[in-house]
Amino acid sequence: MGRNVEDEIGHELRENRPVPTDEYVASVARSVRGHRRVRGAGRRLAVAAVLSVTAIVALAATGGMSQASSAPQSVAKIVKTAFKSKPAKAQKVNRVSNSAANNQYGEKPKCNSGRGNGSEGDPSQLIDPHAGGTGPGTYPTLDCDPGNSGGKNRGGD
Amino acid sequence: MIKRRRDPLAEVESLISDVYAYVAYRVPNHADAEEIISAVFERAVRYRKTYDGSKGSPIAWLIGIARTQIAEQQCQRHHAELELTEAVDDADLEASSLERLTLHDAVRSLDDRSRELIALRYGIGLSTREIAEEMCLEENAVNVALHRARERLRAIMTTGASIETPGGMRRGSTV
Repeated sequence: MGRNVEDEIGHELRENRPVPTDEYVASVARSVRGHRRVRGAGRRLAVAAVLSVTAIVALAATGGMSQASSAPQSVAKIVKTAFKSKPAKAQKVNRVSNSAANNQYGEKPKCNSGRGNGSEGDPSQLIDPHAGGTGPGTYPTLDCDPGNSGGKNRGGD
Repeated sequence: MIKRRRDPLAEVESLISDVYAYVAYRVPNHADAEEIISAVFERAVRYRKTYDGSKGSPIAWLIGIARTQIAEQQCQRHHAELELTEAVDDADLEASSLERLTLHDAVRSLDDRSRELIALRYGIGLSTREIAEEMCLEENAVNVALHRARERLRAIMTTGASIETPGGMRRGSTV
């Protein structure tokens, strides 16, 4: 008898189990999935961070970090020069001093032959051996005397 | 080895159906049931990260949330009904007694514990062993309680005995 009751009532209860409408299920499922989409934003952020780190590592491996690190300083210098007002004088040409091209083709330090190129200072301070002057020193220096090449012939005679 | 956390709401459609059946057996009012189910899933989404798969299945976790929601709703409803009981007039009583008694009406006439058992067994489809674990009972006790609930239902359905709804209104049967 008890088994029959289980069969009848149990079967009926299972058959008539309350069922939600499709619209209601879709509505609740949509709200649950909506929250899940927001959660995906964090995942995208993580992917972006990983890609950034990968790019930095690749740059460091190829030696680009020193160039990249000095770039902001160069830019700052150029910007500073550009905005600096020099109304009377001509603008100084900015040259990149630290580059491979400058190393190969840039100005080389000149060898001073001793004949003077005007960079020694005030010309009145130079020694004039023909006038019998000895200049500021005790002896005229050999390098500054074009008529006296000293013990070695330096091309003047 | 990294253990991947299982999403308890991965198969949400089937979970909605199960929770709906459970709540609908427990809560007489259809609108109230839907409100509770929405609240259950809202809370489930909020506390999704706290779900521990080793402690139970997703449906057991959702039933726990649903039970809390029902208790809160019944508490609020109880206070509201205390104020409304005196306002029900005789005409409404007569009209409601003419409604056809359905199986669901009969289930609603049961006590809360029996409705809980019916909802778990026939709403969600848990085994008696799973119900015993869920309600912290012996499996035998679950079987006996379920048997009594079915007997009571059978008596209501066959004799058409007038039943008492959870709201306190007596309803007749034309079955």
